Amino acid sequence: MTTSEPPAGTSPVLSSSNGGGDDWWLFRGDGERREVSFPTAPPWRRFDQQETTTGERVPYPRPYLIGPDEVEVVNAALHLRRPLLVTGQPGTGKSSLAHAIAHELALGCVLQWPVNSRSTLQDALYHYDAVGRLREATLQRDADGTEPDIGQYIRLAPLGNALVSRERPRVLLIDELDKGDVDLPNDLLTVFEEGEFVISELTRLPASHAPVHVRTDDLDETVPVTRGRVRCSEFPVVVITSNGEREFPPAFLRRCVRLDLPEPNERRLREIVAAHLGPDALDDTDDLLREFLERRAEGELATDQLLNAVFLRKGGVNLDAASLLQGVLHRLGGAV
Amino acid sequence: MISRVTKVLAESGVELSHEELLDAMWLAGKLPRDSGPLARSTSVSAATSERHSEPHHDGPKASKAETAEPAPEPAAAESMGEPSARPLLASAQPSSDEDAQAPAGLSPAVAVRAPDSSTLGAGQLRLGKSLRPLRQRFPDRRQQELDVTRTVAAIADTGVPETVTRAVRTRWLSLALVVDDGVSMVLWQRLAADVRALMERAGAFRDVRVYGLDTRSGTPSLRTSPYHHRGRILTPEALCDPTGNTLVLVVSDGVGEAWRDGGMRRVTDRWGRCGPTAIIQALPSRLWASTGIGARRWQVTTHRRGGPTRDWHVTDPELPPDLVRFNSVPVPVLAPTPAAVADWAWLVASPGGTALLPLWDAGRPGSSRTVVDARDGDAAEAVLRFREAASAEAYRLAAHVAAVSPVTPPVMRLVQAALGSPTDLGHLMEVFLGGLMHGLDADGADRLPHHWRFDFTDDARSVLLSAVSPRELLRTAEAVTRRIEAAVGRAPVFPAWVGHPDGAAVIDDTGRSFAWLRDQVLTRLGIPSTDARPAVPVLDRTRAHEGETRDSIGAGDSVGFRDSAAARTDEVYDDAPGENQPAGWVELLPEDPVQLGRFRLRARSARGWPHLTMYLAEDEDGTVATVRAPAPLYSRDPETARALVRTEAECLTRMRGTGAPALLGVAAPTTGELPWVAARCVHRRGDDPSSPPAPNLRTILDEHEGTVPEELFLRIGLGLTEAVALAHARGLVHGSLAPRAVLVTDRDVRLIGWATATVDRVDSAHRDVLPLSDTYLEASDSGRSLTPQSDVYAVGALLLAFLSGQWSDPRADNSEQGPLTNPGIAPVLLRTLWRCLENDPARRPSAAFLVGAFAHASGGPAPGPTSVELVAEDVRRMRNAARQNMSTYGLEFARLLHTFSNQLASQGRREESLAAARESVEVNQELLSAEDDAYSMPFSADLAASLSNLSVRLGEAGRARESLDAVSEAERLYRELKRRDFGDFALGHSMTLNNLSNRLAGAGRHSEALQAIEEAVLIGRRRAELDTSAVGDDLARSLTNLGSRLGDLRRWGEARRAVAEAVQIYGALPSEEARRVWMDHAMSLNNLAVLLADAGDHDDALRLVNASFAVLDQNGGEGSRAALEIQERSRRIRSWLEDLAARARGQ
Ligand SMILES: Nc1ncnc2c1ncn2[C@@H]1O[C@H](COP(=O)(O)OP(=O)(O)OP(=O)(O)O)[C@@H](O)[C@H]1O
Ligand SMILES: [Mg+2]
Repeated sequence: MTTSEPPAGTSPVLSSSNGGGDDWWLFRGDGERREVSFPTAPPWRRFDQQETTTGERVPYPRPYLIGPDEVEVVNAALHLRRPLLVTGQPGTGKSSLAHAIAHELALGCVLQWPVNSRSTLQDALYHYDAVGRLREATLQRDADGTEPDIGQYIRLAPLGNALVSRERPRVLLIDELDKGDVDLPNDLLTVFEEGEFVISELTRLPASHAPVHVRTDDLDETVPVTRGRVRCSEFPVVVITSNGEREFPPAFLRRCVRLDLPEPNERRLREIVAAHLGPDALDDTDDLLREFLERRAEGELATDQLLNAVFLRKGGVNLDAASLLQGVLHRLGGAV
Repeated sequence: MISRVTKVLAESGVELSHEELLDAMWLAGKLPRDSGPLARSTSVSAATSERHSEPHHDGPKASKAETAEPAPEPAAAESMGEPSARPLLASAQPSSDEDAQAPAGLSPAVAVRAPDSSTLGAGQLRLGKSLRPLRQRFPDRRQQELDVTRTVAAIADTGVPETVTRAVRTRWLSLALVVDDGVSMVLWQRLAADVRALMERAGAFRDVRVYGLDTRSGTPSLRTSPYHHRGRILTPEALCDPTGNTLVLVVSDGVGEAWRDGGMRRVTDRWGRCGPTAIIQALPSRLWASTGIGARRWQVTTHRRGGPTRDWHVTDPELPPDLVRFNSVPVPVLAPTPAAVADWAWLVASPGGTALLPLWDAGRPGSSRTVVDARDGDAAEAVLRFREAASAEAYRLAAHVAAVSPVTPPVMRLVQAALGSPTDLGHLMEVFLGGLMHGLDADGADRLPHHWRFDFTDDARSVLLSAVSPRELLRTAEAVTRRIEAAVGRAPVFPAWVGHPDGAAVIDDTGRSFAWLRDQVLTRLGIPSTDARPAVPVLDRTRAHEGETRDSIGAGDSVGFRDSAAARTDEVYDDAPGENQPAGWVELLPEDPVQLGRFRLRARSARGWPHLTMYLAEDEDGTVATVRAPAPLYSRDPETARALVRTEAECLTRMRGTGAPALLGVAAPTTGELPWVAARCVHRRGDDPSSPPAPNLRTILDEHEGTVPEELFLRIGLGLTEAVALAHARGLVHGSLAPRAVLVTDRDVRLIGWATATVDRVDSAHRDVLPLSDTYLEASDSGRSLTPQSDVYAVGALLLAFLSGQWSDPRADNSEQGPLTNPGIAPVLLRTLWRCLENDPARRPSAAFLVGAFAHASGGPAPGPTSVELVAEDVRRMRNAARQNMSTYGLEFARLLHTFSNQLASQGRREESLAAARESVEVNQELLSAEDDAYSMPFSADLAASLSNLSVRLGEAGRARESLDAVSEAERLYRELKRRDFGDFALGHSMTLNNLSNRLAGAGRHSEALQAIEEAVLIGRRRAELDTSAVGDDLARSLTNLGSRLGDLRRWGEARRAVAEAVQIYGALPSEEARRVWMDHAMSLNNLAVLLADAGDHDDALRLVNASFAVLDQNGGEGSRAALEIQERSRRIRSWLEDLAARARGQ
């Protein structure tokens, strides 16, 4: 999307004089084939899941640090059962907040809906595989005269899934709503106000029809839907993220609780680094931190870039702070 | 309890909506005792003027307020007076060696991301909506997708599992966003970025590519990335998409050289020939004329969706097409406002339509706003020169910028915005380009434009600073501070440096800060609090710097930031009733007057009429009245106050007590006393003055808890539409219809709030006083002057919202505009109401039609006229008015007819168009006959123009004789007018003579035709003599026609000479002008070629035809019908010549 080019003269080519030890060189560019063992990934780039005592598989918890004032606002939203609209500079932990809430309140996996300019409300509610159903129906009728259950062909999408009636609400992350269509907030508003939606394919079933079991994000889990109506009993925990520049309709804003995440200060940054990479990660990274703070505003750097820089430093890259931050992790914004 | 809290909040300027209020109460009960916790967390903005939009943060304040401790109001100047406010500067130096002592005047600082001011402002949302028409999809044959419906149908039919596919519907256009990145454009980089973001999320484009455009030299070039003067260079042709599916949108301020010298014209011509092209002007429209991108409004008609702008049919909105012609590739110029963008987007996306659009007027490069270059010489001299040449505002702005420099573009914009009117962005450009500032960053290209630093020399600065008082500088910094505080967390950012003991950079803190940041803001920006540390009070330093002592900073007279921000209009709830006061009314305030005229005031309205306070009053007879008087705010602007009162009184007079309260009295003294207007109080029960004041629409809905019975809805609908229709019939457009403006009694509906109505099509100059939320005002209507259709929109929105039980934009919940189903309400009626919300005003029903629809639905008498054209209706109304009072309304009526006739003609409705043209002539004749002088102005000039127009219409209808009569009459008039004022009427006379000559020739009256055209030529020569700068294309046209007339009479030699002279004139025209009249040029070349060939000079003839082809090629070879005809003619002449030549050789 951005048309900016990396600044010249700071290319991240690492010559052996300032590079790290042998295990730094995974790819050498010499065309020779060799078996390398992959080093450990940064904690925030690990995709394997851990098994809990109940046998449930959940992602590794990621540390998350948040100030007391922000916690208050989150609680206000939880009490009011209203969506939380989170704004803040890139990398201040907007998206991570949803995961942190889900983790702390043990609400299972976060249901994620990444928004773009094509996103529509319908897509976020459910998908119906009409063709699959018909094909199977035809085949099966030929084979044994029965019809497959329609519920198998309906899969709830993140928003739809969040509105299923459960004992404990799920966490729904509507990520980067600012990227979406102007009308999307208003569409959402309706669903949020009603707390329900209708699967039109199921409303046509006869009144006497037993509840249909439709699929959810979890392969094994199905939920019963009666006469096509899905209605939450407990409003889900909704976290909406947006960049603060985007304006939303007043009616929408009125119905959200707004949280603007502040930029982390030095102490908070240290805590974040320590939380992600262990306390000793802070040992000889003072220069990195200072450099980061100095450049943050000008270079438009985000918190996660500091994490990456510290991780590389720990991995033995010998670049000085300035080159690490400026060269390896070039700035975010384009000129226009 | 709730009402008590609301009251407290309302008094402190906070208005809570229902939802917010309930939430606040609920939370208040849940919170742990000891905490005002959210109060702690309140973002900075909550502490500033924008607080009311941060509902949930306000919530606990509510609970605090309940414990009788009113939240302290932040004093305007507090941000500076507070000792811990820290200076904010645009630029810093890295600190020198750690152990070296910092030089005096420097102190440590840290970098922060300061919020920028927004460029699109509050229009952002509506701008997004205005792009909606472009969001179309078309089937793309190359990509197939599963057609679910048809597949399902097929399988169900055949039982065979097979799939049916269809072409994928893909987005229509690609967008090439071309950002002019000339020197002055660094000021508009943020605008370009905002436009880009807007376009990307509009979901209208396949892709959005961004280019930099260099307009500094005569041949513009493109780069792959704006503002980085690196990157690949492309030629502008790279954006010519042969499929026509690329929209080229240029963002510029028209300062670059190429905008004036024709370079950009050539480029846009080329783009405009391939696909849709438009320019977004960064400057406010009143400054356009002084840039290279001036514009004029033309009537544009399209015949297909998208397509090159070159294909647009452009006519003058007023004059007949043969009088004024638009002869270049049209390029629309858009202000980045919803109204402007909506018109354009609609026209581009509609399969054919007509709109008035500003088109780039490259013919007349603007007299440039004097941008001084004071670069040479010593600083003091340079400043002096700048002072002499620049405007006073620019000079003042320069001083304010110099006081805080070095600065970056965002800081310059912030300072300008803080200074406010009368300085504008144009003045900022004067300062920026005035030669007093220089860039500080040699490595500029590596940084983003909003990081570039600019400074004045120290000498220049000290001269400039002597022009403004330190107190004024402080006030500006204070205003910037408030803007920053209000924008934290909700605006793009730019880097700046704030004084802080931990900082590694150093700033020059000798009073150069453009704003101050308080700890609260700093915390939000990631800077640790410095509470514990002593901070130097800002004030002392500033004083020290200025070297003089100042009285305390003017806190009291700061600008009314809060007032304007708090003027949220439509979300107002009635306060708890005061003692003895009817609901909605409260005790008078100490500053309220007690008596106005014969009215004794009793109570003031608690409802939200922010600018005109409404009082309940009684006259000596005990008649209850409502008296409205401008809020104290207006004591400083008595002119506005009087205008508001007068308009209200005028409207009430015209309504005569039907559909509006009856006027009881008015006073608009020029003596400085408070103006007021009194009307009979509208009571809930029609004639029962003891019943309470009538409720408004909002109250009615609340009383019925969101669901109104059908019968009541129909009654209100009928009453409302009747009132509006009546207003329209009396020449009024209410313009501010909102729930609170509609009072409902037990028998009728009365409209109030007329103070900013449009009277006789003249808009109130104070419309911003009673602004309408965009729920009740269609985006594209808001820019234009208001029409009855704007009211119709509001009526539709009001009634649909009323029916749905929610005061929100009905379209928001039902974007498909499908009829809202509502049991009990006839679907036809609903559909009619939805039609009121059409974007295109012409498609909305009239108010009179709505009356009919409601009457019908309530089982009343037959509906009114089923289809009323709104202009036609206007014409009818004006006709009546003119009949009653010709001298007042006649001229306007005649002009309306003229316009009407042109509009009808553009739709191909010849007969009606002719009739209108004829009527216009008749009215003008009547007007003129009432004058003593048969040529008195402006009637005679209007008559001449309308006769000319009539002649064209008659000619189109094939009625040659009458056409000739009309044009003869026009010619006679123009002759006399020209005699009286050659300068003003020579051109009109000459054009009419051309027209007359053509008609005479058509009638075979060749010698008279010749006489006419000879006279036109004489006029042309005389004009050229008198005004050497006159272009001469008029003379050339007459000469070409003279050639034809002479040819008709077989006077070949003279004909050749005449046309040769025309060709010569065309050839010598400056390139811009030549482009405008290229068709005439080509025609004259062709004519001369024929004449020469006739005389046996085949070679020269061929040369001329080729020249004609060259002109065609340069200016758009193929395209409009006229151009095609010329091309065709050239081709025929050439083959004829080649034929002749071949035969000559053969012999
Ligand atoms: N307060 C925090 N505590 C712990 N980790 C954090 C915090 N803030 C950011 N991070 C880390 O920074 C990274 C980026 O965070 P995240 O993706 O949530 O930011 P974001 O605000 O959503 O950014 P974007 O605007 O780019 O989407 C994550 O890896 C996260 O772990
Ligand atoms: Mg994110």
